[in-house]
Amino acid sequence: MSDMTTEEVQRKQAGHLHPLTQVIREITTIFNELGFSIAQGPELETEFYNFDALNVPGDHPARDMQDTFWIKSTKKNTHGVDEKMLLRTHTSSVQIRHLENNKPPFRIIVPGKVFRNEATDATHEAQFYQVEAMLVDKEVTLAELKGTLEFFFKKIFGEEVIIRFRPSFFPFTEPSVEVDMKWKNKWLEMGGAGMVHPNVFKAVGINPDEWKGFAFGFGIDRLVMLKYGIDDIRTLYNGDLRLVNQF
Amino acid sequence: MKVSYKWLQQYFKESLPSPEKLAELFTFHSFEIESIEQQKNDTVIDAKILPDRAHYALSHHGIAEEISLVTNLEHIEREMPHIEAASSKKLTIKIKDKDFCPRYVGRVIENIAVGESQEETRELLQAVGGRSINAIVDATNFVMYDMGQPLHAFDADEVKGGIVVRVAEKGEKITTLDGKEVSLTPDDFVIADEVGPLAIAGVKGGKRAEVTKNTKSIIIESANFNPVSVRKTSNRVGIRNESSKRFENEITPEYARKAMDQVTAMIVRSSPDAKVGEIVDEYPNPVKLRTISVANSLIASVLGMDIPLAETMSILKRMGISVENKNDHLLLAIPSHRLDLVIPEDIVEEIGRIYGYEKIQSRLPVQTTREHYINKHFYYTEQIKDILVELGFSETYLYSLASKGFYEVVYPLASDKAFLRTNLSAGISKSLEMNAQNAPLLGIYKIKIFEIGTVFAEAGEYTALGLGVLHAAKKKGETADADVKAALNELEMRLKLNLNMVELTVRNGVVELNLSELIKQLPEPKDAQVFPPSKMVTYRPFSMYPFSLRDIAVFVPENTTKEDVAQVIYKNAGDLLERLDLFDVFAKKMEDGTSKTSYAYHLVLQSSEKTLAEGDITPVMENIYKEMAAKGWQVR
Repeated sequence: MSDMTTEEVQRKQAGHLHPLTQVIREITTIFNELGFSIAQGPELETEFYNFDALNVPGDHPARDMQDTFWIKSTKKNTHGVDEKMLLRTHTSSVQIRHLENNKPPFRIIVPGKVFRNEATDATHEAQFYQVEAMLVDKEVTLAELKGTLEFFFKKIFGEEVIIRFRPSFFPFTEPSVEVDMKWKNKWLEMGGAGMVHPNVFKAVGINPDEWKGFAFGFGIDRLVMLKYGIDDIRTLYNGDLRLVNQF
Repeated sequence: MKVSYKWLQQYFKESLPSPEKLAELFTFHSFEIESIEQQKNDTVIDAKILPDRAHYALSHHGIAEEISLVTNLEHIEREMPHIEAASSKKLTIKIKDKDFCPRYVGRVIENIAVGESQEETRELLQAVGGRSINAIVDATNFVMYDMGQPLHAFDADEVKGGIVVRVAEKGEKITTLDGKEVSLTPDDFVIADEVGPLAIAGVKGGKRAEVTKNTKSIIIESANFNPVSVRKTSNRVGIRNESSKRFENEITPEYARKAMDQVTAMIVRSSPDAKVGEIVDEYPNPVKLRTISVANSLIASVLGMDIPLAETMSILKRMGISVENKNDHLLLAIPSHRLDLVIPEDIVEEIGRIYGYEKIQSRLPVQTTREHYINKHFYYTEQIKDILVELGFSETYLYSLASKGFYEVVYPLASDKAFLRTNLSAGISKSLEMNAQNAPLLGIYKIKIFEIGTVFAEAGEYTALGLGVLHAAKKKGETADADVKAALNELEMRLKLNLNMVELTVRNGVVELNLSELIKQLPEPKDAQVFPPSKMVTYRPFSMYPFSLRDIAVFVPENTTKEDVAQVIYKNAGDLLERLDLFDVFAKKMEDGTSKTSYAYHLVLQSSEKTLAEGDITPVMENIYKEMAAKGWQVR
């Protein structure tokens, strides 16, 4: 019988994947089943892709809905005009980039790091991960949105989950809804969703009379924290193996 | 925004449903409810009004309209008694910029009584977070909370000449009602007389024409201002209030006249001797009736529900929208205050939310084309993660904001987080140090970590791979740098890629490389990765208190197992034992010919409630020694 010391055990042991990676992979696999492809984009964005193209004009209260990390640099756009730069507040900017470069129909899933300029505490960090999805096709409605969300949340949390919509507002969707999930007898806010606003399509040269789309987004950190009972979001980002090595 | 239940009831002949029931209806058909607060004689509902509905719903009237939509109860309009003009005092209004000020309604009221408001008015104002100041100011605030139109009252005797709406001149200043001196720029608009600014338009009144208890006559302003301009000025001068909030969200100029009628009625009630002047209404370009044409087919093609036409018509009727049914589409006349209704989809949202999203029957999207591609970047970052994990490295996610870099944040949250990181190495080094402190707790003797993340070089961002190794316990013949190099070699081999090792610097066990560049050289992936579901893990939060280390080494008879030894330790240490690691095993032939085995353990003791003291640990160790001795084991 061999008694291995801890050291010998560690030599043969594998390391651990961060729970965010594990959940992101799980999410992409689920959406892959529905024909979604992965799209990614820059974290350092321009005002145009993060706001203007998404129907969020400057000097408008809608900008107050997201606290932004503005960067003290500018970037010249394709027309030679200086664009203000920021750390993206959502991965919706990648959807615009995709719309510019790809003809519909398509289905994309966009996992990525996003940034909000707000004070940190147990449930708020200045950086976190989001997953956004967009589906553009000839016939798409809120019914398909709901079906897609149900498919996804059931796979992650179990067959018993129930999804519901509440009216909301985002400048880039109309109608806009908040998505709640019932799990373990509690209703939980999971994210936002809606039908892509015609102005967003028009800004990238897609005819909104011909094409329709839905989009939704939710925080992955929140999902991870819910699924595993992690109570402080900051422990996901301080490189602490006391967390990572449990996975 | 806080609304008073009692105030809302004023709009209805029938009794309203309970506040809780209303809140529930709002939640599922209108907007989020932040709280319901029971007060002495009233209930206050705090509704989260988002920018789209802020045009009309930042008022009790607007909320009453919502109540009609979600309950089918008809709301009544306030009665505006007709007031004969009795004052002959002249009032001139000049708007210098029509784009800034689409409408200005003004009126003089003489012989006003600046006393206390009626008790009910005071109570209602206070319920929604306002203050009672005097009967005049209270009336203007009441109308603002009631109708959504901000108003202002000037002391008429302090206003020299007529009212002018103009840009501020360079160097102009104003002392506001709360005594603050504000410097103005030509980007700011003011309400002025021939002496100078009287108010920062839409934002704050000035002290010069303040309504005090000595005021005999007032000028009431009920105006409409450009939302972008008011927001810019409000932000620049640092004054945000209920008035600026409503203007920056844009309201219809049609409110201005109604509000003037309502506030006049209130003031006349509290000032019985009041002599009311003629209304002066500067409205150069009255808003035209807006119509929206909605194709019947659009409703189902957006909502995914077939809503009976009768339902649609009923909802539109309750919204005050007159409908012309033209075969395949509906031509709608939009009420002027519904500035959120612009495109057909806006109407579809109204119908959908009132009809009820719970009625949507979900279905999966039909596959039309399977234009499915594999994301090369994602494919390889994930593949590399798997290789590194196999090699014993654990994954970290670290902070993107650092203390230096090429890109600086305008409003940083902390001075050491004011720049976008240019490398992963700094964060990885810190993480190595921190984890090394916890090595006994983790039960590892080498810290091996990696991060794949974005860094921001001067030329732009790219994805970097950082590896770090730190030996928590020194091992002869092994160095951290060597471990890193070995991992890089392994990566090179498995990816069949030249990492250009000669260019890479491994320093203090840390190395970093440009993954974006590397991935460019790899072939296009053929098959999509299928990942297993994330692990089922029962996560245990770790204690924030320091741990203590103790060692135990014991000789046991040949047939005693390490599990037997461990059992004794577990039993006596209980909850305090965070980790038990076997660090040495050997067999020894004793002088009497018997064979004994030596087991040596590291004990990591920690409490989740406090820092352990000697007094906590010593008894535990004593108990362990006692039990081992009782079993005839020889503690070394």
